[in-house]
Amino acid sequence: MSSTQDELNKIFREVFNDNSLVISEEMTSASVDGWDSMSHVNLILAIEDKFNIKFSQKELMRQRNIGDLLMDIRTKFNS
Amino acid sequence: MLIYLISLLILVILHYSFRKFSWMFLLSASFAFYASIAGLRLLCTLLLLTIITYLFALLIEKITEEKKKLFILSSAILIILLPLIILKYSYFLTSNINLLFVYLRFNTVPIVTIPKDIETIYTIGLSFYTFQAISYLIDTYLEIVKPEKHLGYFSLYLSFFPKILQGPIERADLLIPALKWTRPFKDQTQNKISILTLNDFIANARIAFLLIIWGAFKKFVIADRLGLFVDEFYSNHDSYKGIISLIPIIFYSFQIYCDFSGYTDAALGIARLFGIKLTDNFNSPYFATSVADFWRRWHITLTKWLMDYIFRPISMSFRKNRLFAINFAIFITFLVCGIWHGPSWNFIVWGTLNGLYIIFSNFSKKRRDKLTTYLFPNSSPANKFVIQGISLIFTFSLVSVTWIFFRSHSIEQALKIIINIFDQPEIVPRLKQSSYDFFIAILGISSLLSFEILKQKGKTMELLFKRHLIVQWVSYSILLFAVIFLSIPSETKFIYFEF
Repeated sequence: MSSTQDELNKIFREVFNDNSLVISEEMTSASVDGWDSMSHVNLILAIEDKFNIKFSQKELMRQRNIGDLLMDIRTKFNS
Repeated sequence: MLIYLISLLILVILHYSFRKFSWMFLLSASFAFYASIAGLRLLCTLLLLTIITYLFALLIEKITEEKKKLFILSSAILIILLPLIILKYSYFLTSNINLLFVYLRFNTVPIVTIPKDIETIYTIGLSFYTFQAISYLIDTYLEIVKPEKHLGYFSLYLSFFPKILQGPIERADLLIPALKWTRPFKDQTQNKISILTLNDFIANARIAFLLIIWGAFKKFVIADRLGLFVDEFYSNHDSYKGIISLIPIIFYSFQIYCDFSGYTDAALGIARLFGIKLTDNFNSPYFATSVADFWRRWHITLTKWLMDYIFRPISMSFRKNRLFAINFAIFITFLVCGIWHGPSWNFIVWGTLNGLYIIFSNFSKKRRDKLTTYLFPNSSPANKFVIQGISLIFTFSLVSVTWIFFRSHSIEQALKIIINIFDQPEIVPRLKQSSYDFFIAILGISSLLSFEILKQKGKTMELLFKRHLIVQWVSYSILLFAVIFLSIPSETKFIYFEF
């Protein structure tokens, strides 16, 4: 697991209150207990806060799985 | 009816015999089917909408400048919404604006006059494929889908006949590849294809057959029987007072579910005959333990559409103020949901009420959790079961109240019906239907719930196919006999045809 993914995993565990949660790129909201449209707002706020980044509206609309989230976080670090 | 069945049979034969041209047969059949139900005017609207969406998507892909892209997308969405606004909402909008102006004493003469006959225009299917076209354009803008170059497959994506009247509202990234799958694979030998196709066809045909009969059972045996009680109640609601009113109110909750999901099951079954798996719109909605959970299980493709294209952009725009962002986005999302269902204040109240339930549930969550821990201190399986049971009944009751607004002719009628429940009459009114009707209604609801309990335990239709052939055929026959002998012998249409 890459360090970005490790960090993201920690955020997921905190937001969804599940210490055994292990994320993977293909996972969607259907595969994480409690990840619905409303808790997604908390998740995005936590990610932006921890990584000190800001997603654009287009990125937020496009993200459909954890892989999309990871890709957008990495793009922001590389640019 | 017979002509549709014969046409379907011919279409299946053509589809599997000339797979290269299958999209032409399916498209022609879809247009013919839509014209036969909705008329030529709506068919022309569909064709126009198809071409506009197709061209705009190609344009969006071509433009590189982000601001320009967003401007084109917004203009395209507005243009696509025009037929829906004109045909479905113009009368409602203008009459309400005129009423407002009269109320404010600005003018006693109507500002705009829309011919009365536009009010009664039949817009069957329009809301469904308009939403599908919007999702296609937004997904193209977001680069989730690449615009389809083949106009034939694109048209089929919007107009595929099993789903054109009542959905499911499908996404292009799933449906277009599925429609194209029917093309023969170039790198396989002809022989291999035919063997694969035959096996696939038999497996699909069995599921299709069962889905169609189960859908017919839900519609013609359960929904239509419940409709006898419901129609009578809503035509003479003043003669029903007290607890007896709860029977037709509860019956309507099941009627609308069986009516809509019955049609969807049949649509899924018919698509399966062509090897296409459409999205299931329902996941036992009345087993939901909260109103938010209900919406994850009810009309799933519409909820997902609303969440992706209304809730998400709004909630994300205001996310710095988390509480406001979530609740404001919910309110707007459910308001749109109500408006989508039709030009009436009843639908607007129905949608808004659902939104308000969820907002209230968000604000009261901590207190409710505290109360639950106080009443049930340990989390034993028995306690969990009781909590779940209470939540389920409570959610069902809340949802049933919203259905009163959905079914009533006016908001006054809905409010009167609710007040009448608490009115205790001196003589308890009796239901006007026979005990036979009541027995069939209860039998129907019980079989529906039994099936849904099995489904929740993961025992799906495929399990039946693993049983002995005799067991399978006995099951099919019972269902088929029930559909033939327990149906209401009258021509009824589907409730969701209105939307």
